[in-house]
Formats: sequence, structure tokens, C-alpha cells
Amino acid sequence: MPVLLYFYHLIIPIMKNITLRIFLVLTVCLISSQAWSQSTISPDKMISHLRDEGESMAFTIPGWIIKLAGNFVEGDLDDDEKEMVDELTDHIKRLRFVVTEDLPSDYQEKLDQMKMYFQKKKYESLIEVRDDGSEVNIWGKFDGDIIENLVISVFSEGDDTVLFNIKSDLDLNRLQQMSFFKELAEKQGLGPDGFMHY
Amino acid sequence: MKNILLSLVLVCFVGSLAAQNNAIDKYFEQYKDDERFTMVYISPKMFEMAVKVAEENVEDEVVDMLREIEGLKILTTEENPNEFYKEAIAKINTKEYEELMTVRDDGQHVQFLVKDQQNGDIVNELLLLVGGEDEFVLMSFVGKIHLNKIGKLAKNMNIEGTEHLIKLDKEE
Repeated sequence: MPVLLYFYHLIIPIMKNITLRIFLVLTVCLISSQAWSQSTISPDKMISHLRDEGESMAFTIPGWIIKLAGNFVEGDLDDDEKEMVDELTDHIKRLRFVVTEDLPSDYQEKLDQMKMYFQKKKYESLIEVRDDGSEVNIWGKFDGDIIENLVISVFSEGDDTVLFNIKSDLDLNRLQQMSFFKELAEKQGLGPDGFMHY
Repeated sequence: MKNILLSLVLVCFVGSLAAQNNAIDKYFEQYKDDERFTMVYISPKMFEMAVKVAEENVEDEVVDMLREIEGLKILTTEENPNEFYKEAIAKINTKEYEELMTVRDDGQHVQFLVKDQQNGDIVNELLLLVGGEDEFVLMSFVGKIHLNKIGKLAKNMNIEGTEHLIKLDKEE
């Protein structure tokens, strides 16, 4: 009997405390997940949102179609460009984009939510440019030197707004070895032997 | 007690350094969405990517230079340039910087300011301020900037505002 009393007076309050803690933790998790789902929007959902509101066109192009399209255009390209197109088309897994003429009234709010999503999902802002009513933003998600995801938004006042979501496994180390970039650098006067003797 | 005092002094010192960088960041944040301005921001990750792709194809010195640049922010406007120039000068404590070069030409005031100059030609921050009747430019390069090469790089950048950096090219 004294053992039971001991149990009642010591263990039950601790258990109550633990139950209370678990309840509190669960409540916090639930509220934060609710808040998270409300305050962020993935690029794919953003594309669907823009597609469903107003006059717009949305496309989803799987990797194999991109590869096929690459094969079609290769005939007109030189070797360096061909190599570049091959590399890109081999490693783009999916391209999804939307072109819209009139933006929904909640566009800015949704854009902010997408930026929140990027923050939470460890995307990195690569470039932001705004000039004369036009705006270009590029975000990327990387796994080391692999580009997993590129999101490009092009907003132009009074013109079409375009949002691209590109899923890939492009390796920056492979791009580095392409003669396409070597030629480009040489054209810009930055190639080997070019820069210091500018 | 001594340790607490030392810590406080350290915190104040670090705080004042951070506040200066914040002044430029705040100014940039204040106007980056303002339609009167042209804004360019290139993130450290983008420079990292450029280095990766450029490594095999571009002159080593350019790659080394890009590798050490941690970010680029540019704001330019042609509306009330003098007012924005004065505002920038007032908000950014230019005394924190060393004046590298000032050019007054045809009503335009071009100021190159640098921070933490080491070994002559390398600085940790390069701030360019341009004011005048025609345009206002604020350009902030952060990282290890090689002053003797940045002008040459600017010639190839093709970004509005960077043409002023060509003035740093000694051969120019």
C-alpha cells in the first residue's frame, strides 16, 4: 500500500507532466505545420496558381521530350554547341513553365510565399535584376556541384510574365569542360592568354 | 569584471563594424524594389557557379579574382540623382572607408572608396558612388577585390554602372 501511495504521489504528477509536454509539443508542431503550409508555396504550385487565374498557358515538358527536341535542332549546330545541347538535354529532367498576360491580384503575396519556400528549402538566390519595369530573378537549389533545381521568373510590366521551374542533375564540373564556354570566354576576351594582354 | 568589460568593448567594436555594412545593405534594401532604380544583385553562390564553369576556360587570374568576390550590388537611377547621392553619402559613413580615387568631370562626381586595403592592390570592399545631373550609381563589391584587375573585368561585364570601374584600370 505505501508503494502504491508512493507511485500515486510521485509518478502520476510526472506522467501528467510528460503528457502535458507531449500535448504541448504536438500542438506547437500542428500549429507550425499549419502556418508553414499557409505561408509558403512551391514553384510548381505557383505555376498552377498562375495557370488557373487569368489568361495563361502552362506547360510541363518531361526530360525525354527535351532530349528529343535537342536531337532535332542538333543538325544545325556546330560541334561545341552540339556538345552543350547534349549536356543540357541529357540532364534536364523536367521543365515546367507558365506564361501569363494578366497577373492575379494576389501575385505579390504568392511571390512572397514562394520566396519563403525557397528560404525554408535552402534554395539560393543567384541573380536579381530589376530595370525599367522588368524584373528577372533566378534561384537555384544545389547538391554540391549538382544543380537540382533552377527557378527563373521574368516579370515585365504590361507584357507577359513567365515562371520557369527546371529540375535537373546538371553537374557544374561537366559544364566547366565544355568547349562552348571556352569559346565564349575567348569571345569576351577572358580566355586563356586573353585577359592579361587585354 | 575585467572580462565583462573586455567583452563589452569587443561587442561594441564588432557591432560598429556590422553597422557599417548594414548601412549599405539597408540603403540597398530600401531602394531595391523602387521602380525609379535599376537594381542588380549577384549573389556569392552565382560567383561560385561562375568560377566552377570558368575554371577550365578562363585565364587563371580572372578565375582567382572571381573566386574571391563574395557579392555585387548595384543601384542606379536617373531620377533626382543628386538627391540620392547626397542621401547615400549621409547614410553611409564614408569616413569608415579610405578614398581611393575621386573624379569630378562634367558635373559628375565619381568616388571610389575602399575598405581594409591589404598589400597595396587588394581590398575587402570596393564602394563606388556616382552622383551628378545625369545619374546616381551605388555599387558595392564585397570580397577580396584586386584593384589592378577589376577595371579589366568590368570591361567584359556589360552591366549598367560597371563602366565606371574602367577608371580604375591603370592602363586606361
